[in-house]
Amino acid sequence: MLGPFRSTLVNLGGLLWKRPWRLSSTQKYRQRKRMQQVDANIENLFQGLKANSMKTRKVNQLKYDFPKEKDMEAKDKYTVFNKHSRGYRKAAHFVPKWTKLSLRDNPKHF
Amino acid sequence: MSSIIPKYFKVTQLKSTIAMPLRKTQTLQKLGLHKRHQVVYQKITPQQAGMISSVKELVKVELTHDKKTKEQMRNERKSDPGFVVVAKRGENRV
Repeated sequence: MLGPFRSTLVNLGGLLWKRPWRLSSTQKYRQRKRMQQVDANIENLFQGLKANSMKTRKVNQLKYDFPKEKDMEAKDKYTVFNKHSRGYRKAAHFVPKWTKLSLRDNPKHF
Repeated sequence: MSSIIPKYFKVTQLKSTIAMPLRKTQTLQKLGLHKRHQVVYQKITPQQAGMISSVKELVKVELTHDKKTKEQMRNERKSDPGFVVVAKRGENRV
């Protein structure tokens, strides 16, 4: 088993993908939780301003135009647009810093 | 909660700013946040709401009607020592 010609995954298959092409169920669960936290933050910002009879364009936009987690389709939650992929989508975890970003909007006409 | 109007955003930093764009790090610093799980209270104004909304993925926002000082928050975190100091050496006992 030892030595230069030992059988490893790389030697046998030639190519080893270390990142799976789709998210695991726990990754998806945590992604949903993060999105729900962002939605709650937006709601609190809006309600706080509203209670003090104030408003601002940025928060209003987030409240009314930003897609909410509960309204989104699974494919929009877990995949993003990518012009190089077959089907023009890739899993969200291939985007750098994907846990600290909101990747909710698709490009226009897609 | 419905009768009392909230006056402050209670902002907790949940994510670190490591490898985030400089603008986001600076926004958090201006809000008074320097490390994860730190809590600051910000007055409810459109300016503060705009700043918080630009770092909405990194923080947790709650609404409160009163604000806690740093000292109060530190005292809340202290554990119960399990004893009470009745008197100190040189003092008269009650």
